Amino acid sequence: MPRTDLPASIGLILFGAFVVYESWRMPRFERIGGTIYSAPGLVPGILGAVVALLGVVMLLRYLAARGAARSAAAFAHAEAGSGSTGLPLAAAEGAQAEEAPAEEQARPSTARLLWTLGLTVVYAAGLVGRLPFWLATFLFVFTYIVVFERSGYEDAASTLRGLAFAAGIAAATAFAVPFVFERIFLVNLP
Amino acid sequence: MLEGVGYFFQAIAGFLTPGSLFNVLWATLLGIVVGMLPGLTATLGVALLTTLTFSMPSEQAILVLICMYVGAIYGGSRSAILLNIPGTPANAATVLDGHPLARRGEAGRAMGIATAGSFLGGFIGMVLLATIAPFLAEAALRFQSFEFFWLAVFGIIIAGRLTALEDPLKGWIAGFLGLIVAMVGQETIYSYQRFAYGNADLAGGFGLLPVLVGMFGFTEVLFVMRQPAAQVIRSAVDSVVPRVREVLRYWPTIIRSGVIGTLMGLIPGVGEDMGAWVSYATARGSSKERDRFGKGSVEGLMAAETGNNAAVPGALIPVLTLAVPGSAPAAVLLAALFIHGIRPGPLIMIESPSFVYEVTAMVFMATVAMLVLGLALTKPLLTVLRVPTRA
Repeated sequence: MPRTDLPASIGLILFGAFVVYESWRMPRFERIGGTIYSAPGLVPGILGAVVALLGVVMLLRYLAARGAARSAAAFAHAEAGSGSTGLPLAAAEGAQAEEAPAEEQARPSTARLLWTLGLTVVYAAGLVGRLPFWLATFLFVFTYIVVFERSGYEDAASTLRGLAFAAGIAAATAFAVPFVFERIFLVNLP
Repeated sequence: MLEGVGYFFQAIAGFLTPGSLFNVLWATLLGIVVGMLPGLTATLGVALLTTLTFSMPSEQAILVLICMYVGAIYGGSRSAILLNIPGTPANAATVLDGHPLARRGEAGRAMGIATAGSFLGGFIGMVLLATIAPFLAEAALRFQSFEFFWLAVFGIIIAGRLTALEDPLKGWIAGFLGLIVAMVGQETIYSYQRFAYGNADLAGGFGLLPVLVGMFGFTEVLFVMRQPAAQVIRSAVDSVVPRVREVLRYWPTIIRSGVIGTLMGLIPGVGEDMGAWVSYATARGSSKERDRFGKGSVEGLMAAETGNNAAVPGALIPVLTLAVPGSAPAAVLLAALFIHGIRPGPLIMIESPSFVYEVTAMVFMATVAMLVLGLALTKPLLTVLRVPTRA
């Protein structure tokens, strides 16, 4: 069982409980003839309860699997102490060690993920609506390309080339997207 | 019956003029492009084209709109296979086996299979449209609360079983979380704003398009940016035209998916995405190669694409015979029919019996154009795969 099952299951239980609580707080409109079946909170309350229940199942499953893994490791230690081949110990240690290289690999790429998320949130929540769409798109695309291509900027010439490339792509995008949506498809952009 | 066949061939002969063939080609091509672009759906394409076809003769206008509809539902398979992003909601099931095939360097083969599946699905739906339209429409109208409830439960259960056959729990959790997200906004009885907390945007709920683009498109972008190494998918040794033997090998799946897709399109408000998912789930349940599903199964890809394209003529059945749309694009098409002076409904078989067969002929023309354009566009689209998956 992945380690993330523990925080995920707790999160699901809390979220499900929150949905049930908020659904309970919703009005029932009894004064205008509403019944329990027409109450706005009925369906979300049921769904919240189901999600919380499935979170409990996931948590119990994780605890049972962790208990079984610890028993296997303890058994393997006991076997190794009594002079057996120790293969189950190696397997248990291998299973635990398996996660460490995965975490090592994940560390460098998490930064790129966070940059992508951050730039996109700044574009969608910060720039669009406050600046003309073409300008917001130009700034976003230009910054995005520069941030992820900067490792290739080794000297002044390659930096200038890279910035010009980024500006060209950004300008083309800033022109093409509004043109296609507003002139051809007649869809207003923010 | 024989009279219907006569009307059908008469309509085909009528559409074999240079002007009609030109309309079929450009409208289907535009539909494929619209379907390919995530965020643009068949509904939007048909709606936009309705305004552009105001001044056209009614039969040409309806022909163009049906070609846009068929092309868009098929076009979404391109981005689903190449980019792991479904172009329209109807192609979400195509992603499961289409993209793994592309990652194995078999993108051309995948697109050929998807094209063949879409063509066969459209063909099967077209035959059912012509032969049993009035009978099917009557049965679909009897769907009430109980039947829709079980359909919703079925959707949740297959969300889990399709995600991971061995451990569907997380799939079910995802399905129920999706239903909770759908609860945000005004409910239908008292218009009470659930989970909006005074926010005007949340009061309208989450739109399908932003959720679709966010869940599929943005997730894919994040996933690709997280990869540490640049990967260019090489698709050098790859066929475009599917082998007939390969397609016919799965003929039970094709026929079953075609029938299921037509039935799903027939039920008002259900649509092409359920046609794809139910076909896929049924194919997986009865397949001898079940373990290949989700890892690049040709049968799975075929089932999904056959199902979603069969739903297109299926959705036209209640439009024509009951004036009730079978899907969202069909609803826009229904409006277009009224705009062009055509009165669909129960009396259509009496007032203009040839019209149903003319629509069947339009679906046939659109399906053939989709096959030709789909196979012709496969090689140029493979250049998309040369884009490295990390900056």
